Amino acid sequence: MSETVSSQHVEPYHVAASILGGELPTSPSEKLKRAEAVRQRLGGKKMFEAVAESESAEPEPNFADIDKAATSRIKEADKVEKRINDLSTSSATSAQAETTLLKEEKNSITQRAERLKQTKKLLEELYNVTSSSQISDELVKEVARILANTPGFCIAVAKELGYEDPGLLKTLLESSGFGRDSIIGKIIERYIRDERMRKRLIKAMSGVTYDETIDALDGQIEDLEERIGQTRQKLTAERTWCEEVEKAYNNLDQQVLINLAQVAPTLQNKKSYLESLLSSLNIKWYNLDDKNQLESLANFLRRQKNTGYDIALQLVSEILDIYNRNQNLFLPQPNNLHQKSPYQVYIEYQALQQKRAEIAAAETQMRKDELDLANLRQQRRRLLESYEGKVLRVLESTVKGYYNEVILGDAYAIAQAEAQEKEGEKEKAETREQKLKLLLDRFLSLSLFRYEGGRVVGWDDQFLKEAVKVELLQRSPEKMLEYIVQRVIEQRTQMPENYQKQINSLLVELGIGSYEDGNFTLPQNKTISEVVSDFFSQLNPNFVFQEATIRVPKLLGAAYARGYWFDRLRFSKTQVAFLKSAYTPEFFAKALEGKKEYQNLVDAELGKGVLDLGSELTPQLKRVFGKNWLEGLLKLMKILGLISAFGLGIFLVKGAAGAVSSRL
Amino acid sequence: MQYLLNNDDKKRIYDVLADCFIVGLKNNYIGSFEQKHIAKTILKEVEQAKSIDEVIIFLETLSKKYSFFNTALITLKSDLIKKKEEIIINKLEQYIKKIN
Repeated sequence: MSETVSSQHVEPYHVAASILGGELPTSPSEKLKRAEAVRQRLGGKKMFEAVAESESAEPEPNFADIDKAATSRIKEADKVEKRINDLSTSSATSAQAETTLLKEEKNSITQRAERLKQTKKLLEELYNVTSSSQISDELVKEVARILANTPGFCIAVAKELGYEDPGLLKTLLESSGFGRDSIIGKIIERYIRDERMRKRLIKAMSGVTYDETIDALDGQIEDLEERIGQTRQKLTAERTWCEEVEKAYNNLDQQVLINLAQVAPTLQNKKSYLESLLSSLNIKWYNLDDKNQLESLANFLRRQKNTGYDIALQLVSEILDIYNRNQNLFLPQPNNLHQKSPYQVYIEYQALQQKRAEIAAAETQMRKDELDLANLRQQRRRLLESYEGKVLRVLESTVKGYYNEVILGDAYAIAQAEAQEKEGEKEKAETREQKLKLLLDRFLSLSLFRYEGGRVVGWDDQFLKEAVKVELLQRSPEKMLEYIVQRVIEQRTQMPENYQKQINSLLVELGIGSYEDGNFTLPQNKTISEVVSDFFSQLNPNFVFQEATIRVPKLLGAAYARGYWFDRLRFSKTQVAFLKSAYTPEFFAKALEGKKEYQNLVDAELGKGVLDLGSELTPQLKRVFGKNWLEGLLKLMKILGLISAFGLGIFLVKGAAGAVSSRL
Repeated sequence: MQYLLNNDDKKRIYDVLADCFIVGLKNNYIGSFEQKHIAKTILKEVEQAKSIDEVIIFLETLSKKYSFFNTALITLKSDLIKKKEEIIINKLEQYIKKIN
């Protein structure tokens, strides 16, 4: 890469060319070369087998995980829905506000799930797109929206698509206000089908990994939610039980309470002792609170003869005696919701403190579980949102990556190609410029003579006169240079054969003529003037002007040497204005120098003293303007300008501007 | 009348299809993802095909999607006609021999 190319900047029009021009032609890929080689050596089947297996190393994007994340979100939304339903039965004043918050949360979660599903659909479509598959409007719209927001895209391509304001194109792309058959629609479709887009999608997806911790957290969260739910239910029931026991106890008669305080401890002790005794005797099936069962037990114990049984029988009898003596304490109370006896209420009331302590401990555990649940949910949310964010950015990073690497890459390649072309053109132009200089160096002077039979016979006065009297007054310096080159080409056929060959050869090198069957020809169906004009249109204008400042004065000098000068010419004011605007005084100053050169040339070519006309001009100038006659010439130009400005019409310049008189 | 494919026929089919496939690759008609997909489809369909008619039905579908397979379709259809003609001529010859 040359220095020019490497320093080549990518301009918006290069990007536009890349966008509108499609892909650059690519060289045969390695894959193609391999396929051809296998086809030749091993046959078609082996080639297809090789192609089918060739891409097996390419990582396949995991789209299924996106579904997993979406499903996780849907489950989460269902749970929120359940909480909303639970709240609908609540009469708490905060329920309404909480319901509103939960509904918002559910909407947000549902939207996330929908976005994930939609994104997965688009990504899968982009991954599976083929040259012949249908592309959905959704994918085209999404890619258009991303491109609209890709810096540089709209600016680069807007003008080429007929939008003066890139902002309009941006709006159009963002709002999907373009047809699928429009140019921009086709461009986007081409991008979507581009294999390089797919590669960037694979690359972007490789950076998106689903953290399996999310699934583990989901399990832990569900377990904890279940446990908390169960605890909450249990605590509600226990709190109700406590309230009921307390209420029933408070409803007991004072005398009953006094009796219970006496009876219950004794009964409890006896029952406790009896229980352990029955256990040691391996008797387990009696309910000691049931009087009938106690009586059955007494009958059973009476039939036994051993000591342990006697003691048990004694205890059963005492308990039955307590029951019989305090029947009112053991009968169910009709005012009690659960039909408990005062004794049952009393016993349960004794256990109330213990139960409340258990409830408090369970509440503490539940609050800890709730805290753990919140932490787990937070962890899960963080991981899930991180994954979701990455998934939702895949398409954008794919399209933007495609723009930055492919479109701008192509634009850079176009810029490089352009720079190389310019470099080549510059070299070509420089060569052309050198050749043109050579042509004029060698043959400008020689073209000003008349030839007969290949020999110089004198100046071509007619040409020189016309050059100064007609052409100079209507041609710019550049056009005068064209006129000079045209003269060389036309006059070459009159010149000695050696010169003709040299000129023809230079003209071929300049691209003006060519050899056909060894004969030199100029382009057909064009005049020499047109051919020369075409040639000059390819040259650098600065070079043409610089060359004109050298060559035109030489022509003028030659004319001057032959006596054709301004002192013999009449000018209209338009011609004066033209001369002043088209030529700088230096042209004429150089022309005066040129005259001497031509005098020497003529002397050398034709013999000294042949051409003396006009030689009196320099002394005249010196007489009028002093030693610095160049300054005088500048004054001439000033006068020409002034006269022109005053609109004095036709005037005559005499004695090299020594006297200027106007003729109206 | 159905002509059943032998190994040589299948080799010929693969080669004809491979030449078209290479044309598709050269002209960038198919991306690398599709290349693999097409190659797998061709291997599966040609392997399963018992008759040339089955291959032609498959090729008609394939060339609708990927026009560069049209040449293969035309070539193989022409092969099929030739084979059918050969079978008819063989049968005629056998019939004539019997008569004589």
